[in-house]
Amino acid sequence: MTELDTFKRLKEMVLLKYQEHYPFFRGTWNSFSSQDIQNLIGLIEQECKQSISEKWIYTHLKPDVNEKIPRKGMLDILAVFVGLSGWDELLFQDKKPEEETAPSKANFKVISSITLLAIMVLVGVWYLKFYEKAGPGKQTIELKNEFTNQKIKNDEVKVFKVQGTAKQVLTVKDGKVHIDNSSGKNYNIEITSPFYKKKVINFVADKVKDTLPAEVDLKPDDYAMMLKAFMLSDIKDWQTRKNQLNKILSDDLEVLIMLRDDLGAEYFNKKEFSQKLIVPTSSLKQMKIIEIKSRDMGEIYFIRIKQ
Amino acid sequence: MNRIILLIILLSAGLFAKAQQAHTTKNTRGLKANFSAPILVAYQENAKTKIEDFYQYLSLLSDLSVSKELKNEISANIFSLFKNKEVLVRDIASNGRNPMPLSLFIPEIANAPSLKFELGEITSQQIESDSWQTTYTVKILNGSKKTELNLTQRVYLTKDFKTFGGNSKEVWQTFLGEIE
Repeated sequence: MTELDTFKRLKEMVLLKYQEHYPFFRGTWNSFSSQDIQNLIGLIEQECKQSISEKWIYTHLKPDVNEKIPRKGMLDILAVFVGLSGWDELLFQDKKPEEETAPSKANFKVISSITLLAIMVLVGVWYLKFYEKAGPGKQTIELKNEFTNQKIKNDEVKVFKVQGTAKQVLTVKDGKVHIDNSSGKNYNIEITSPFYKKKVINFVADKVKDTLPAEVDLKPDDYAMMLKAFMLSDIKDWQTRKNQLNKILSDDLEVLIMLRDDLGAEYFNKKEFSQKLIVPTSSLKQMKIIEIKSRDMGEIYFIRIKQ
Repeated sequence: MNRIILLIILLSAGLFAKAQQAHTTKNTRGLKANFSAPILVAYQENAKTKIEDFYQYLSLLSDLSVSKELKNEISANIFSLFKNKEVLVRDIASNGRNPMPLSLFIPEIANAPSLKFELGEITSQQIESDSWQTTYTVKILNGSKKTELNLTQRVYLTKDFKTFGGNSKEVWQTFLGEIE
């Protein structure tokens, strides 16, 4: 595989990554509009803290066929954007199969040793996994979006183990929570999030296996999800956004934008906050919603944001 | 009788205006008496994002592809960042040294052909009774022409009553001020 082939693959990966954020886009680089380009520039700035020019995208990403490889610095930015450590990792991935399929002169003993070692590693991994699942004191639950079935992002959810008056924060890693059952007592697991409906699971020590699900589906809060999407959106469709904001935000809305290190907060009312979202700036895109309070009908009346 | 009623109304209006003035005028005790140094630094950091937003809004305001309706929204956003519409700002679009009110500066930018504003690093200076000064560099790109200006801008931190639907509360808020 040539470097140009690898670059082509990277372009496809960038498109897929873009679709994760803009699911309505289903086209190719050929149909990638100027608005899509602006969105992509914003996304790269937001995720990689790097900038990439519109001209560069037109020159190197839009064409179906590339005659030369762009400079490595830019390739590194795109590779990081799609979740790799850099361009070299992608090159390594693409060249590895070639090396593996190349005629090997390794002797039979070496191959046998490697195979044996691989089998031992697999057995080890399987044993550890089995042990972790079946162990009497440990349990793992996976948190998923009820509608999309995708893993919940670690920073979008808080999980607490509540035992009497004690409340312990549990770490969420890769959408999973490890729970220690060794106390032999009953407890509740509380799952809270600004973007999902709160969920409480009761655990009965005697029936842990019956009451502890391996997977917990969280129901998204539609208005909160809309708000999150609005904060990351571009200027396009600002009128629709304005109308929807008027509907989802309560007239007595209070928004607290926390100062650095939570040393205070600046308050915004409905009008001020809506204005900010109608014309989003890059500072808004970097803000993170940490708390949302809604009324029974879904109208949001309180938002806490971290800069 | 009518004169007495008129006198009472005028007197009440005068007292009300004075009370309002007391709410919105600068804090006489001074910011340093109200806040610890780390909190003031946090407010200064917060104000920097407002300056960044201001120049992003200006670039958008001058963008030829932006509709008139959206420009009105952008203008409203800019006005909400400032203390009031009559704050004096340097006419940076035409590189004029004379200050002009924000209310005149904004339409000027909205009618200017596709200006781009690139903001350099912002530094905040010593805290005064109700404000502090910031300094920064702005590059103004007008087609192939590039102008670089060193500017100073005042930022105010004031305590005001803010309404949230039917409720109101007294909150501290940063506002952008004069640009020289």
